[in-house]
Amino acid sequence: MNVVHRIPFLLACLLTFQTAGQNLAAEGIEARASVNPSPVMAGTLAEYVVTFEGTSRIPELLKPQVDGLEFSDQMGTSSFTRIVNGRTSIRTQASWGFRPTSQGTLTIPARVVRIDGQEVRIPAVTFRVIPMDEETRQRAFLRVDIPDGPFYVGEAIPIRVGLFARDDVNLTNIAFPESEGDAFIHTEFDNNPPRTRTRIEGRLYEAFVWDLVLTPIKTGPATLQFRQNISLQVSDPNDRFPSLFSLNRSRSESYTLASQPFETEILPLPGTNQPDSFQDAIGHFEVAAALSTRELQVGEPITLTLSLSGSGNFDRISPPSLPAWDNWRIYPPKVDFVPEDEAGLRGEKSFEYILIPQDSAITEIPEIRYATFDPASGSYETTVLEAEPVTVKPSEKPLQEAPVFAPSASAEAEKDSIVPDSLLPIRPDSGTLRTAMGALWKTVPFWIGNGLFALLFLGTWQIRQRRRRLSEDDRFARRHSAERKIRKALAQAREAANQGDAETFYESVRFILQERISHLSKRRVEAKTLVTSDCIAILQDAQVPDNLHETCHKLLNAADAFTFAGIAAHKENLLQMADEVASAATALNRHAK
Amino acid sequence: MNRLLLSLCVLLCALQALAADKAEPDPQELFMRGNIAYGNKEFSKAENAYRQVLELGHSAEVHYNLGNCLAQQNQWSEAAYHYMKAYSLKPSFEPARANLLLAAQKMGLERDYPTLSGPANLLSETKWTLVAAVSFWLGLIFFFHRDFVRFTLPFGKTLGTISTVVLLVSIFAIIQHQLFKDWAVVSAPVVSLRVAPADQSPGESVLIKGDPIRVLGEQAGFYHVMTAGGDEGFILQSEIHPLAND
Repeated sequence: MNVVHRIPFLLACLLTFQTAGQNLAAEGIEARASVNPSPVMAGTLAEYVVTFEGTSRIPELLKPQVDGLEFSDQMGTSSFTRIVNGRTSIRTQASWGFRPTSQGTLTIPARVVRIDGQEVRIPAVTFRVIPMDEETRQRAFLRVDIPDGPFYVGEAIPIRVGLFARDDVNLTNIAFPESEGDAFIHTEFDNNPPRTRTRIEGRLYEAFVWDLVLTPIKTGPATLQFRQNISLQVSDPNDRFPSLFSLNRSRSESYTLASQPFETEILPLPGTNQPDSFQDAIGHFEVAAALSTRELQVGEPITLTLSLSGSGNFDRISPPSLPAWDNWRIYPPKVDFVPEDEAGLRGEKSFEYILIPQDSAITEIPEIRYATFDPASGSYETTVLEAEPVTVKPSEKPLQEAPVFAPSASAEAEKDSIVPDSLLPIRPDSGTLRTAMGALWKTVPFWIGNGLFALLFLGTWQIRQRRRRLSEDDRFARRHSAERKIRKALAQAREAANQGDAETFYESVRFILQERISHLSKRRVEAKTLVTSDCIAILQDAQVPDNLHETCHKLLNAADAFTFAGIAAHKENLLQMADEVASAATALNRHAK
Repeated sequence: MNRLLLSLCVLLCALQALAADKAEPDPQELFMRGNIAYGNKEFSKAENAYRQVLELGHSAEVHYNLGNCLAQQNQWSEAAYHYMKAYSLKPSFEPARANLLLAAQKMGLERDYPTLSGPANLLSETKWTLVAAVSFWLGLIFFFHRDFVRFTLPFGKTLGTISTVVLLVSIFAIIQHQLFKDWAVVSAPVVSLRVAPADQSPGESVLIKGDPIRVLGEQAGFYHVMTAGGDEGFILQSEIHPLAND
């Protein structure tokens, strides 16, 4: 049997061994569990590994849930197959990374999973979480500075969160600190916190500092702790070749830093004696009011600006609700805040109300009260803004009653607001309704209108050009003035020919030819003074076509014959000559042009 | 004879009643009905009334009020569409722009929604078209009036130059208005931005209801569009509300 024929046989044997091995293994699947490293140092990353012997299948395993341990969501898997002396052994592993969040002895409980129809028990693992050693703690730590209490719910508390990393430690990655505890909310961490260098216990540290505003949101005992994941570049102490080729071998280690837990009691705001004008303003404020004018007119809007300056929870302060004043129409205020620090703890918040007096009997802006809560003294303070005297003139216009509509007078106020706090009111008028929504320049009437204007424009231009030519071109002017007379004479000649009136006919013919031929003259000549010889000479000078020349000559001779010899042509001849005169007049006019 | 007269009277009355039944509703009355319903916080009823007005005619105010009705019902994307329509019809209508920005903010898209700028922000497209036509003819008259009349207009060339500048500004504003009308708002909840105008085409990215997009053209029942982020693709025509769709 040659080698080629042996290959299928060998493969069959291998498959047989493999299948036999798997079947053998399936009969006795074992599971082990371990934690690496053990014991686990608080704040460091560890691994929980479950090893299955005798199967290549990894069952569906849920992430372990253990108090004091934070497991990663992703499960790592691996599988090994070994054949030793024909015996096949298969091992698979599932693992999760985790970080301890508490210290002491912890246990990951046992559980039972089903693999290939067989119940496999994963044993429990017990291990210790020891405190972070001093050396590691000194490398980097998280510190939170919180002022002394007491703290009231809703109060704005300035805090400082600082990450300190020793000067000789290389920070390779830092995440934002995360707060633990449901009693507080805080402002967002800045992407680029200020970095400073500071000396602590004789060692130089690099510090990342975040200034935040913390707000308690529920009363009672509360705990606050910040945690932050970081990665450090650490030199390997077991490196045997640290100085070889000047290579400094180091590794990256991940840590979870935790601040000292902060425990306090959140106090509720005093319920008794809470003023009606209190609108959640907690802090130290000064309240002021400003009126745009004291000389008013009925129906004309004015602005009343209430401003709170100082320090406190500006983001939670609601606009002061003005009481329902008689004879005033009051609109919701425009809110503006000008911070004096990055955290927004200090600054000035203003509420600009639009007021419209409705009656000329008004004599004052009524008194305004605004209450704040001072956490330092633990009491409410009410600022009373005294009534402001005003004079209101009667209006010349009738007042409008449109409670849900935007008053036209507040249009300016609307213009100032870029993004309003709430929807601006609807419009009382529908405006001009249009059925066509397309662009005007795409409509036929637009182009018809423009076309008519263009025609008017061109017509006017044409008339103007004609007038100018008449005034500047003498021949054209003469031709133009004679045109009507010639037309009349032609009509007269035809009528005379019809009636057999030779005298009128020849008179008209002479007039027509004299006028037309005079236009061909290079000199200015009087048409009436031209005799037949003059006409013939002008025709020769003008180089008119021979047939036209002959026709003109014949007609002029006929007219002369009648005038000087009294020889009149027959009626039919007169009609024929009338046609010849008409065509000659047209031809001469064309030649003159 | 009396019978005949009586029959005629009855017939006339019947015809009048029939005509009254078939008469179109008065848009002003419908608009007022919408306003009253809005005031009574019956936003759905008000929406119906404004939609009926829009079937009879368009105005910035009707689109704006309808936008408010939809916003009150938390239909911010369609509200944004109607605010854009109102703003397009009347760029000086500040409340429409303000509410459009509010709607965009509510949808987290305040940076994506377009607004008119420069001269287009001053007047509507119709008014700019009229300004362009008038300035064109005035420019012609000021420059060439000597060809028409015997006298010379004082500052003719200066006024002609001003008219020409106004004409150019008008044309620029009209182009801006036309570009603004190319915008549309995604109306379907989730839309796939396809790489080709075909149903089976793979999606390049996903757009959600309310996203503003620019329509670049039409092809085989699809709109060729560009997102505010600059991604191009194809969207079914039924999946968006184009601003110029009237």
